[in-house]
Amino acid sequence: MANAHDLARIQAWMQSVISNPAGVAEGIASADAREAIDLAPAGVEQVIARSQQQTSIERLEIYAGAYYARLLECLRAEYPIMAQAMGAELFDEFAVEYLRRYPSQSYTLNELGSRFAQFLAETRPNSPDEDDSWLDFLVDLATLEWCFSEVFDGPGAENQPLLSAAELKELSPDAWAAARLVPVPCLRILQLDFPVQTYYRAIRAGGEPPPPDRAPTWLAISRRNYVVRHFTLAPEEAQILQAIVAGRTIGEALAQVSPPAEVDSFAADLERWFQQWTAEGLFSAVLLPSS
Amino acid sequence: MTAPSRRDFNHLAAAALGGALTGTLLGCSQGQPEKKAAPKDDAAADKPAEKEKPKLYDENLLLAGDPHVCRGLNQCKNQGKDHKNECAGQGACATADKHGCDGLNVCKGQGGCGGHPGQNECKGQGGCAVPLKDATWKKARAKFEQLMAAQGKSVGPAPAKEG
Repeated sequence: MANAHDLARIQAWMQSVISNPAGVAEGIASADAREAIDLAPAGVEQVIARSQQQTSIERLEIYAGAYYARLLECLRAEYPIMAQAMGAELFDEFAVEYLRRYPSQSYTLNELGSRFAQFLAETRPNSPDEDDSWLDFLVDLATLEWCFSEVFDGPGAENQPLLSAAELKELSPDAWAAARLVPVPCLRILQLDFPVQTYYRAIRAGGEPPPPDRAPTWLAISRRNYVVRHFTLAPEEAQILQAIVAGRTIGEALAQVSPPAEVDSFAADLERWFQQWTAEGLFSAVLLPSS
Repeated sequence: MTAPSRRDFNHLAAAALGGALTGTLLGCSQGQPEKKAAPKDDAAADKPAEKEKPKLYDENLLLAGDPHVCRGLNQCKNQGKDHKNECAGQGACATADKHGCDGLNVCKGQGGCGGHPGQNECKGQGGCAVPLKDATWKKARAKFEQLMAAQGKSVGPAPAKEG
């Protein structure tokens, strides 16, 4: 009888039942559910009464449908460009299988889509005779969209001081070369095979662009005043910025890149890159060897 | 690869320092909302190797005003439609289209919407078994080809038919 079970036990059972990706009957038969209430599907009326119009299973399926519908809606919102590019129905097919393979396990829905790009990479068909660049494009697009979400939802530097001119203007060149810059926590650097950000922006602008051609792409993504921003990086620029983010000194970071013959030209690049980085608020402080 | 001379290295480091210093001044001096980039600016910004004036404030604003920004997550951070935190923890409350009774908060998982309680909008969801088979990827490929064809582009050979 239903009242033979305490509420916590019924809740645990119901959660196992309605969240089982295989369906309600399978959920009732699952080990998790049976650990809470050891019941075969045929005996479900002991816990959930049937109504005049619906069986107990059908009543439970309402909740199961709503559970997955809500998760699907979250994924569509998490990956709006992918959903638009694929079309809603096709996106849902991927999303449903994703939820089967990687069920929601976190207390927060913020984590729900965290492995979607990984899922796409894992399930992509391998057909050596085919042009599979579009598969990589989809993975890159998912990676970009998730990164935007991660930066949006994660810690930022909105209420913290950023690197200031006062911290830099007294530095000698030697001290600067030995210094380390502290990145803001929302800074991400992505290396992609496609310029998916152009596709992303075109879709957002209401266009119907073709998927871009493959082209190595580096992006810096950060957040300022709760707005996620991104800009492209030249390969050398990305290399230096990655080294700085990894904790290398400025000197070490610069030494990673082989300067071209025209040093003045490279110096102009560096000046421009560092200017953009600090203007964008990518760093919160400079650490000197003695500090 | 040859390491730069000490003199060259100092020159490069000084240039980096000068740029960083200028950037902090520019960044601190701007107190106005950033301008949203026009599409043509977007395109230009995607050519970092070109010697162009740095675009410091016209990067692409993302998510601001996005109808999906408050997507039922726990941390909306005042980004919702009305810039209040009312949407924390709710299903897509911003301006996202609320289609039917598909698990939104108004439904509270109660179903009963329309004539098919518990089945509404469940196509491809939950217990409606739609295993991800190669067919799904083939559909994705077809969609890709469709997008390319619309632009007059072609892709590689179509997937071989499986016996």
